[in-house]
Amino acid sequence: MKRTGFRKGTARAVAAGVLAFVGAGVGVGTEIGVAFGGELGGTRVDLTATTGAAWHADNGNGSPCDDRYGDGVLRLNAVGNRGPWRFGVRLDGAAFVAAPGAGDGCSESVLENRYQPRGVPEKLQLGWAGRDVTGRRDAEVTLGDAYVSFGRGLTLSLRKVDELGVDTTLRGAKVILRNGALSATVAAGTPNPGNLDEASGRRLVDPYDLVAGVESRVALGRRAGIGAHVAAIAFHEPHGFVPPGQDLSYGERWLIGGPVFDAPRLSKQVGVYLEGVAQRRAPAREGSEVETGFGLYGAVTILAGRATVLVEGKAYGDLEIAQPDLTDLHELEFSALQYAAAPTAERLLQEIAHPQREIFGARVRVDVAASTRLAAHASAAVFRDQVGYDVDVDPGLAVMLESATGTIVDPYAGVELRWDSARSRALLSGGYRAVVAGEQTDLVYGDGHVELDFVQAFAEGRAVEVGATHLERQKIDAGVAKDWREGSVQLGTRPTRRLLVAAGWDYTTDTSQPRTHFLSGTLEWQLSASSSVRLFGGAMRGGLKCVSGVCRTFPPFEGVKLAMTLRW
Amino acid sequence: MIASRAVLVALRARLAQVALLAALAALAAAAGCGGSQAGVATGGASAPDFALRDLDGQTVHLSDYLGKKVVLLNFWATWCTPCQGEIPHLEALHRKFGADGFVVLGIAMDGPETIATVLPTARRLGVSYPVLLDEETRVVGLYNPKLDAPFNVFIGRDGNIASTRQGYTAGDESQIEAEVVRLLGAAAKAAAAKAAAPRASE
Repeated sequence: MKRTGFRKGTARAVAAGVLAFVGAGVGVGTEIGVAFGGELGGTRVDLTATTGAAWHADNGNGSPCDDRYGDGVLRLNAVGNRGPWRFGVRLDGAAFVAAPGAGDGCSESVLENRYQPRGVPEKLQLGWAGRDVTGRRDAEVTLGDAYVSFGRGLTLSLRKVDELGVDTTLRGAKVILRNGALSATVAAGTPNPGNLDEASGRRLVDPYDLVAGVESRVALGRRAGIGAHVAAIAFHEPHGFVPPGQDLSYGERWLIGGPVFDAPRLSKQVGVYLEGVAQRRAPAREGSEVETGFGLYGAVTILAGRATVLVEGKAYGDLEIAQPDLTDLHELEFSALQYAAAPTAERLLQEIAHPQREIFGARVRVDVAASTRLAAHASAAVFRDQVGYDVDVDPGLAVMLESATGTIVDPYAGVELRWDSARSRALLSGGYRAVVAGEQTDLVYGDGHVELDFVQAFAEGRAVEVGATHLERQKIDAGVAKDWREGSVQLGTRPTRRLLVAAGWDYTTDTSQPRTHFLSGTLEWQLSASSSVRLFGGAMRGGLKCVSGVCRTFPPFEGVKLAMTLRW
Repeated sequence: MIASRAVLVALRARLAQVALLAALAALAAAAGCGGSQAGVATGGASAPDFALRDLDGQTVHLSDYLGKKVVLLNFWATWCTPCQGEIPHLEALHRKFGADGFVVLGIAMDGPETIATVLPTARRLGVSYPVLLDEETRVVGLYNPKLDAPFNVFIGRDGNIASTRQGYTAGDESQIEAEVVRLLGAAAKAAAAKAAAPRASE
């Protein structure tokens, strides 16, 4: 606690930095966006500067190494086009004020690649897209950074997931060709992730892995198509132990690929999607065995009057999701960095116990639009997860843990009402996910949730908004049962169309969190149709956050964030 | 590891050379192909063209609409609650002004892992306009690099981007309609006035 002397001086420095951002016409906040769009001699250019500044107070997690510092982040996007040509550039910059250091008792590893000022061209792109006069043939060529995704992501998925701070492109070349019933995509390069984790201030060193892939598709009439995709990955840093003195760079190589059958309108009422992949994972070390894995995914959509029925099934066997070796890249902050994403058939924000690599089962979901005012959905799933969950095999005596196959049961449902010509709405949903394992079918994980989203609109853009989530959770961890509850409530009002005043309350009884209640307030001012300023002050709960089965842990936050987005 | 880094630097330099050569080759090839490009009614500063598959699996090009219709690109996602508040209003506009030359193109930003839920969600919301799947966020990178949801891009009949709008709060639909009417011109104004007349008399 050597930095308790930090007070007015640093506060003034932070304030000066903040004002400097504002003075530069860029703004202040965790997120400040300024966009300038216009036309220059037949070339259209849109500039978007997204900048951020925040003051991190003591978040109560017991570590002084992420407290009492300020940060500023700048992202400058330039996107332009002239006829078939297009280009894109994103410049990233970051600055830190009063960042914790070794004098605060922070170890070298805690500070590694952290709180470092930077300014780099993060994404570069030059492209061309055009069609021939018949409209049957067209091509897109992209050099530089491009998002790439094959099929449902089992083979390759390099994209942007804002909620997890992930923005990964493939830096190299990508070509898409379409000629009548045939289409193909070829891409090769090195994954280029967003390098700054804003939540922790840590910089990711590029993994320098190499990726190449091909996807092709043939349309079988207007109702269906078949295709295949394959990707090869060479890892710069191999996973697992590397004997001292050995250079195993690019020695570990994975080959992933498989067929696709896609018939979104197999008939008027039925759509079918089937995808399979096989993996061959050759390790870098000589003498190590080649590993294999597979993944099967299928979805059937049935249109039945006002109802839509979706049946999703999956069977994964020793399926590993490709991601760089994170041992030296700080796994906690960058665990969501991966080169593929298996379809989860889960609720979007469902927390999952571990990566789903040995799992099979199915989900049925029914969506019904009863009228323009009433809609509902219901879903139920059953999976067998063979990776296993630790269960106490001999209750009553000393804890003896054994891994047992888990059975996941996951029903949920929701109803949505609209009134005032659909300007006001209420969405209420809830469900309970249970995982049982072992001969005594012990509950090893329970997750009950209730969610509410409510908007009551009034004249002239005024409104009252409520968002609430409550979770009742149970978990048996290393033989020890743990129950806790957590949730969040957001109450907002729009006294005018342009102003939002909101209060937030996060709560948790999880003893690993620094406190039970986290209070916050938000002011948001809508400057124009596409411009806004947002000020947040208070605390937010940390913990594991999962989006579509991809998870990472966020630290708790306490402090002030100012955000602004401007476009004109 | 130092040796490894040196190899890496050399490799990157080689990659850069290869990329540059590939760039020149591709640009030259693209320039050669330019003459065969479809005649999109744009003066070179139009909304950039793209091709995405719709919910029926058919490839849809923006250039099929540019210069012919007023287009609203609506970027949304199944995980975006405000988007689902806005979509019924866009559907109403699509029905109201479709005959006047207005089209909404919904662009779903769901990733491949949740794309199966786009059709059920669109049907639950009563969407009848084309919904395109941008699971790669390829078109998002062209129009909405900040990944705002919802995010609307209004494209006039001249094929140029007229305006953009981020977010949705109750009441915004009247401003969206005003922008659509402005871009459609006199015919739509008359249609809007005609539709408003019975309401005024109620």
